[in-house]
Amino acid sequence: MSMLDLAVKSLWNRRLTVVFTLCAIALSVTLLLGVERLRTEARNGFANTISGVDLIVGARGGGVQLLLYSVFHIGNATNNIDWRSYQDIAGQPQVDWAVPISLGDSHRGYRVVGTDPSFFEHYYFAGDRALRFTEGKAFTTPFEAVLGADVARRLKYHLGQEIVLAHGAGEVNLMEHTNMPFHVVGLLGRTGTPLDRSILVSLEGITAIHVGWEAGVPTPGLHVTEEQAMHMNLTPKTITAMLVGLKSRIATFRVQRYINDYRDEPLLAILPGATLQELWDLVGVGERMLLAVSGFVVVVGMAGLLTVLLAGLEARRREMAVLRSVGARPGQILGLILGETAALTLAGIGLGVVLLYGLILILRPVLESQWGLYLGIAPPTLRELGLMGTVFGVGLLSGLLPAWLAYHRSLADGLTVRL
Amino acid sequence: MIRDRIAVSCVLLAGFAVAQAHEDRHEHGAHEHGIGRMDIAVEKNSVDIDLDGPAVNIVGFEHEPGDAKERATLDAAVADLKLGSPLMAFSPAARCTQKRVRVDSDLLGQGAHKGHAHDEEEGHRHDDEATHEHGHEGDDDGDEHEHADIDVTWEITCARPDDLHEIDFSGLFRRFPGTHTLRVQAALPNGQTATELTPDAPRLKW
Repeated sequence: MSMLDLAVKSLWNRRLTVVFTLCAIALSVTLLLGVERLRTEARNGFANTISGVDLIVGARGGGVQLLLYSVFHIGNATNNIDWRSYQDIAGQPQVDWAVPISLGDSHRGYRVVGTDPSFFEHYYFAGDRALRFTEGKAFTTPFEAVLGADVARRLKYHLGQEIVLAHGAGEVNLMEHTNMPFHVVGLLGRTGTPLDRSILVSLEGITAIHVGWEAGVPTPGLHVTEEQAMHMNLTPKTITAMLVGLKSRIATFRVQRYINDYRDEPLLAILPGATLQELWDLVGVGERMLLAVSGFVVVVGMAGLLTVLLAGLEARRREMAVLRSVGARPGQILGLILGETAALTLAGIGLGVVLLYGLILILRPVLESQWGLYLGIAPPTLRELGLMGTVFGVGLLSGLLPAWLAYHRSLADGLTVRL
Repeated sequence: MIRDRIAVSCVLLAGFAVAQAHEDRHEHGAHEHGIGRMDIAVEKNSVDIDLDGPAVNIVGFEHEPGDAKERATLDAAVADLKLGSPLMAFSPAARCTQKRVRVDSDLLGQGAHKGHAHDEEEGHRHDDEATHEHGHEGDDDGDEHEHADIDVTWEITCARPDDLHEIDFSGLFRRFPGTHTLRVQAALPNGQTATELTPDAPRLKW
């Protein structure tokens, strides 16, 4: 019978303790890898949301805040920007294109983005992927709407569907613009960005539904129909933000300074990529703390393993003595304990990974719909493998103490067996 | 046509700058001793680097030079800023050379400075209203508050821009030890980024 067989049989004899130790290690590994996975996926999700935009312009405030509300639909703008500022900036010689964005309405919890049809042409995500229509086309008239992939799927909407927008952006509430429904004319393909959970309509549509809403609520007695609205001047007075593309990257900072020192109203221009980096620097502290906490959980798991091994050692003095008496060398005893630790740690890591993927599979739909966080079932990354390697190393290291003790005691016990 | 518009804007701006100086907090927000703001844009073979920060970072004082010693310090600093090359090192394979440089500061003398910045501006960049405003406002700020900035713009061309992957500012940190942090935002060929450079981490890589 080889040492390996012996080790397995010995473990089997202590299966209850072993299973619990294994669970502790597995859970700690799941937590560690889960935190790392969420962190990287969230970062990738953010980084892949927008590309090809040189500057984002909004009302003056925090840069991170502007990035969050304009692109990620997190939070709200404190102020709008004047339509004339938009036109002036769009007309600057270095500006190639400028897409206006108007936020603030919703439909059944999904944000409505008022913009112009050029949005579909200039919006890129995940590097160089353009928006794609799975059905239909971009809106052309004020009362047409384009749905993001999730909106269409979750609400089971199709082309031609009539939808009513609500004032504000909550799940329940709300004053509805029932007098002017929109018609769905296009469905967008999946992008993995907040756009999937958005409804895109024209700026004119947004203006139209707010005719008579100057006070924030409908003016009593004033009922405007779509027909009437179509004949009004639907040029917006204000927009929430604008996305700007430049003719040359070299002009980025000149245009940024021009906008930041804008004379007619306080504006802020940010470089989305640079601001995203600032955001990472901000959340980096929290991320590192989370990772540190899960690291400590792994250490606690390992301490459990160590306790079990040490306690087991006391109970296994006879086992060791018997092994020695049938000719096992001290080195083999050492190997036995170390091998046991290695096997336990490895099994724990394996179980942890299985658990992680199981959890991802189960939680994926919830994370996707509630948080817009897309978790891929990707093989472990190099960094994750590194983390697992570290856990394995720490496991082996913690196995050294009981192994060394067993090695020494087996010598002494071998000489002074008390049966 | 554009020139006319610029001219009109300039006149308007000169008026507005005085009226609105108290409204614009942009310049004040950026005034933190020891910290310089740097913008780096790289496109094809052009590299634009703009350094903007409190004068104290560069020369150790923020008033117009009072004596010969301060004058000498300022002149030496401006000379080195204009030289550029000892302050920053580009990937050697990219073969980058300085094309143009502009140093703006209230310390450089009120009247002369205004005229100077203006002329050079008109000479080569007709489309830029921002810097005009910037310059004038700087003056106003300098008068009202005892803070002064130095604003340097380097324009660099690289013969082989594909080989440009790094700019090392350790020279700048060595020459101007009053600068301990550069807050950099950059528009690079592979995307935008923001970072902080320090004497211990003086390199921007991409």
